[in-house]
Formats: sequence, C-alpha cells, structure tokens
Amino acid sequence: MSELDPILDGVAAVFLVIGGLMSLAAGVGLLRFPDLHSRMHAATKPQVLGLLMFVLAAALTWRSWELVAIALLTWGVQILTAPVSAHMVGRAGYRSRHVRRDVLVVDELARAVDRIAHEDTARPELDEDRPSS
Amino acid sequence: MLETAMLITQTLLGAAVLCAVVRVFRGPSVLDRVIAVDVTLLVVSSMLLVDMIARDHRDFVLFVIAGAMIGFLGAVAIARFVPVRRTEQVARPHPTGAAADQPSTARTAGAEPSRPTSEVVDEEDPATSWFTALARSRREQQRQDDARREHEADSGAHRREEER
Repeated sequence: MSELDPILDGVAAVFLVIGGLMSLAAGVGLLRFPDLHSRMHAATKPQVLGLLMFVLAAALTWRSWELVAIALLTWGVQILTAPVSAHMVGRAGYRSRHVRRDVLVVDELARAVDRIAHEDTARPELDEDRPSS
Repeated sequence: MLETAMLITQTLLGAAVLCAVVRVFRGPSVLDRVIAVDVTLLVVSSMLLVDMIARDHRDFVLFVIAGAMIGFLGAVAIARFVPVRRTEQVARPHPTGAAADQPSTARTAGAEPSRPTSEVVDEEDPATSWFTALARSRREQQRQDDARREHEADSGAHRREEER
C-alpha cells in the first residue's frame, strides 16, 4: 500500500488543480458573459464539476471510508440543490425581463407563452395583466 | 507535491472569488448579484476543502456540508421576491398585435395562483422596502437598455408573425 501513496497523492494534486481551474473559469465567466442566463451557465461549473474534483481529491488523500461518505454527501446535496436555485433564478430572470433578446438565437419559451396567452382559459389568474379577449 | 498543488489551487480559487466579488459590485440586477454570491460561497467552501486535503485535517467538514446545503436557500428566496419592472417595457409581442396599447399593470415575478388580481406589486411592504430600494438602484439604466432591446425584439417579432 505504501508504494501506492505517491501515485494517489499525485492524482489528487492533479484533481485539485483541475478543480481550481473550473472555479476560475466560473469567475471569469461571471465577469465576461453578457447576460443573466449565460452567467448562470458559467456559475454551474464550480457547483458541480469543481466540487466533484475536490471531493475526489479528498477521497484519494484521506483514504478513510466514512470521510469519503461525508464528502460524497456534500456533492450529492449540491447536485440536488443546484437545479432548484438555477430554475428559480432563471424563471425570475425571464419573467422580470432580464433576458437579452439580441443575443438569443431561439426563444422557445416565448412561443409557448404566446400560445398559452392566446388560447388560454385554463388558469386566467396567471394572466391578470393581459386584456381578456 | 500536494503543497504546490494546494498553492496553485488556492491562488486560482482566490482569483475566482475576486471575479465574483467584482460581479457582485457591478452586477446590473439583483439576480446577477445572487448568482455571484452563490458562487462565492461555494468557492469559499471549496477553499476549506482544499485546506483540509493539503494539511490533512478534518476540522472544516461541517462547514463544507453546511455551505453546500444552505447555499441555494438565498438564491431561491431572493428569486422569489425579485421586484418587477412595469409592463410598459414588455418586450414580448402579443400575437394579436392589439395588446401593446393596453394600459399596463404590474406583472408578478413568481406569482402564485392564489394572488388576488387587485393587488399591485409595486406597493411597498415596510419589511421589504430596503430590498426594493436595493433592487431599483440600477433601474434607470435598465430602462434605457429595455427600450433599446424592445425595439430590436419588436422587429424580430414582426418577422416571426409573418412566418405564421
């Protein structure tokens, strides 16, 4: 087992640096991207990939099963909660007109919203600001 | 080897935090700031994890788990209460084309179905007025941006209508 240690440590070091690069990519993306939804895309990198790299590095260096379980729990919680917040933020951003339409290629949601607003009778209370026709 | 890797990684993470803080400072809307704060929290807990790995101790395990668990709560809560811009700036085209002239009321951001129709979102609740003020801090510029984009979106909408 002892001759395996430097190899494991080296792999862990590589994982560490990759995770750091992921987080840096997120920071640069937050700075450089033009609108809210593309910034959300950049912000997911440390949430999922960066944290996965760090968790793997921790599992490789600690070599103890219960700590590996804890580290994986951290990552699993992050995987479960990141989509929730991304969904809420994206929805609020779309509804409060933070979408930059000049950088959009296609907006499929707008078509659906138009169709529903046009034919809609199902949930009129959601369309309180529309003229009832 | 782990020490050099830790140095490099902490430097990268620090640069990421700096970028996110700049975005918090600049970010034109609350949602941008929320995302940046979220990333900051996550990168900080990554720093704790890296420190635990490199120095081989377990002191921060609880902090890392707690950070991963509560990190999303702030984003969800703030996204629920994002203040709404008035609908005179609505960029979305209505298929009939007649709706654009209608007097507008406020549109609710995360409207629950049970919200009574008479309620106007712009009414100030004293408990949340500080938040509204914060969120409106960049409103004037947003308004100008909106006008510009709306113009562009309108031309796109006409094109789409003709396709039908």
